[in-house]
Amino acid sequence: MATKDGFIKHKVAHHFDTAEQEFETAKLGMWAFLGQELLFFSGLFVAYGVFRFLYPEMFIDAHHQLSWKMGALNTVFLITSSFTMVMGVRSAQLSQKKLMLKYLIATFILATAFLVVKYFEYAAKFHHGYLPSNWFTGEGLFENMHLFFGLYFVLTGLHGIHVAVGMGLIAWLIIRGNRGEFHADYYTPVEMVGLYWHLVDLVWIFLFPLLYLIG
Amino acid sequence: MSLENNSGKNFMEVAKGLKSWLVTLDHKRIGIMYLLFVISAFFLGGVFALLLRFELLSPNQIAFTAKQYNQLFTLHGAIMVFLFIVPSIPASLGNFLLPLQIGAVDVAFPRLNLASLYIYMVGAVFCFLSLYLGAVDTGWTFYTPYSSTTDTSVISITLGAFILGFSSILTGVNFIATIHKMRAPGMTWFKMPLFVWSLYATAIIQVLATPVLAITLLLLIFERLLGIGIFDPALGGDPVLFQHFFWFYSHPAVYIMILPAMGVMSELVTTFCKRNIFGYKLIAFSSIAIAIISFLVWGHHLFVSGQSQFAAMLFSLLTFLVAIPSAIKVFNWLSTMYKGSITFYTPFLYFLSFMFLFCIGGFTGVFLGALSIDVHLHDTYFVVAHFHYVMMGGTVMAFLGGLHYWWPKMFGKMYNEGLAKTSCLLVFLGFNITFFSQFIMGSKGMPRRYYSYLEQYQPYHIASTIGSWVLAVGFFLMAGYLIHSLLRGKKAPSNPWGGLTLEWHTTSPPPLENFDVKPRITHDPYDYENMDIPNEKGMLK
Amino acid sequence: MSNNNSHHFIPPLKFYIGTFLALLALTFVTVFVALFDFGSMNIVIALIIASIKASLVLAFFMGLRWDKGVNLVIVVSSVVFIGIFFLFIFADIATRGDFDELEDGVHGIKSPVRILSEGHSGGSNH
Repeated sequence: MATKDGFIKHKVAHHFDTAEQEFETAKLGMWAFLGQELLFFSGLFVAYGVFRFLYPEMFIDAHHQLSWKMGALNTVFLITSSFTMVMGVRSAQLSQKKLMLKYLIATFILATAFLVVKYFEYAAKFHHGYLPSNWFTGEGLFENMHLFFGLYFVLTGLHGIHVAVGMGLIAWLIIRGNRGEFHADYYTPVEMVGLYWHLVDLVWIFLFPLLYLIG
Repeated sequence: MSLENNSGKNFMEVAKGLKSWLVTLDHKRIGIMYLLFVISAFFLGGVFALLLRFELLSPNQIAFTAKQYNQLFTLHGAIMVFLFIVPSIPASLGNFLLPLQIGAVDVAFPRLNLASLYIYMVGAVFCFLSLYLGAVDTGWTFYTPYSSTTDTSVISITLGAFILGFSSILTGVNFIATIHKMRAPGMTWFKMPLFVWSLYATAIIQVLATPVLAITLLLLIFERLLGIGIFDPALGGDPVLFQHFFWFYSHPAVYIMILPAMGVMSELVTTFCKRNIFGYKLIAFSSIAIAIISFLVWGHHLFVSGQSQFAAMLFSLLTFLVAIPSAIKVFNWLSTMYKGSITFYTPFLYFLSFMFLFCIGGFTGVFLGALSIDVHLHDTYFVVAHFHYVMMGGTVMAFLGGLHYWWPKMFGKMYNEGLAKTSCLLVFLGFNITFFSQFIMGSKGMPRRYYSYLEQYQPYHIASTIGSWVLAVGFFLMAGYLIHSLLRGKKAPSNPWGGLTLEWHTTSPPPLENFDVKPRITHDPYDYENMDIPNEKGMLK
Repeated sequence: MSNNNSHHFIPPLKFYIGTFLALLALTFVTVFVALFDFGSMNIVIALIIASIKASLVLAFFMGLRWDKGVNLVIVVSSVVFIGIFFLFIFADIATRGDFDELEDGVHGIKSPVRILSEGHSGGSNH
């Protein structure tokens, strides 16, 4: 039921006493979930660390096949999208519905741009055969170079899946936000998706130098 | 759902029919559905155990080929670990009792709770799909490089375990948020029942360790599908790294299994001794200490796997630390019993079984943590006996104790006490016959997971197999009287054992929103000296 | 719709803009320093910059600076456990074979089991 200013009033779930408790609980749950996301990615970073430690020269040789320019471009996309996301949350907190939608759409577009760049990167790797060992046909000084690309594809692939999931969530926010569900009194989903989105950014902040800027 | 028109009805009566269960958001119903699934998994894993014990009666082939035997012990392990013991206490009893014990209406995220149940079911489907596609023969640990080369359906079962992991993570997230934010007025951290503390410690491990299992299994799947090579020595990878990854989760997971059991123990000992718990804070903090130390010791599974000697020494040293908080708990339970007015109902018999068996399991764990001894005992039946004493003698005994303790609360029915005691005795005896003989043959050098063996080990194997039959009789008896209790059991009073924690303040079974009046907590959870026992007149004498 | 039951703190805009600009600047810095070779310090420098960026995101974009302490505890403990994960695995990977080099004839054997020479009757005569 929309109120006269176009917003839908939020009903606190029956098992909470106050909206405040509901919000804080959701936030704590989200942070716990983000904690597990960090540990999830940590396994890949440990594997990266181990093999970089074992084969440092191979890593340096292999990373020349990655384009740091594309990586840097994607970093800028993701950082900017984090900024638009946080501005979207802020607009929701201030009940600025139109502004919030604009920021969310901007975030969505930047995420798409990230994946488009990723697509061109992947296409180049596929073209030159820099793939995990089952299909590896690339040229390099080291015969175990496929290890680097195995890790590269798993790391960026799982990160890319997180980006895609995030885009789905942002689209969901746009639909609900358009109905006027988010405003100063209730913006929990915006805040939660925002936290998730920053985590995606956070992982990339480490991926970028570790994969593209070894030297 | 609203509270209107539900007065006087318990949570099972407010809505009926299969659909009302499948779409329920009530933590009590979700807990009971979990209970049904974990017990089914336990039954199935138990059947596999009986079959492989049967095959081991003789060093020669009786009923199964060597490959089938490998598949049997893999399925026994995988089902028991991933489908039964990890979700057993937290997801079934924990789900049912956590909100009740902290005086809340529900868990923090009821939808997530139901989702985690469905994710569990999907994971189970993938595990069983593996049965159909050619059951896995790698052992439940899926060690590479064998698991990346065997032609059995590794992907299906690891995908299953991966999905089950998410169910576990979501339960953990839910419990952490619930315990932080949903406590009733007056319930400070140190007024929480100890079962809640143990669930909290468990949830920490679930959230922080399980994702590493997820990524490990995912990497194994990628290893098989894409050949990323990080675990394959032929491709420049390191198979020991897989073991590190695997045990970074799976060792803490051992504590996911035992910590809630320890929580149940604290509930049992206070209620059946009618005494305040000895050393409340020590027990609470030792749960957290176990949760943290559990992350520091995984390397003791790799003592003979080719990890460096420095790492082996480090892990051996740290492993001994686990003994400290575990011993703190045992001594505190023992001190709680001192001068208590003890009543020997079935749950308390399980408590005593736990104390006895867990001590044996714990001490043999200290042997195995010693580097020099482990080199000899590693991968023998001694290890098998050790972890069965902890997992079955510990967790399963506590699970059964908890099940009998809260059965009247969950279903509102009593069971036959005499049969329950008989069954407990059979389980206890059968368990010891089965696994003590394994200690002996393990110390004499019988390797685990072997299809055939030297003649000299046969008497122990026969004893162990006979023990497994005694165990089975005990469990079938239990299934019998519990089903009878559901159908014809006497109506249970609100507080049959004279417990003090909040779940005994409400009716059996509880109403939809748990309490008619929101509870307000003024005393310590087990303060028998200053508190009146709630609903005392129905108490069993 | 009134704002009367909303007590959430809304951070001043300057924090967000400042963080955004700092992140862009640090991205530039990390690319720039990668042009120079500092030997084994390369990865350390890259990780320090990445950590600063991550801290900025956590503190301002994710609002930990103004948030309840428990959420910070979750992040810190996740990082601590990731540290344990790294450290202990490197305690193995980086020290493999170290001790065996002290023994005659078993160079390079990466096994914790000491291989006894023939005729040595094991265990009892230390």
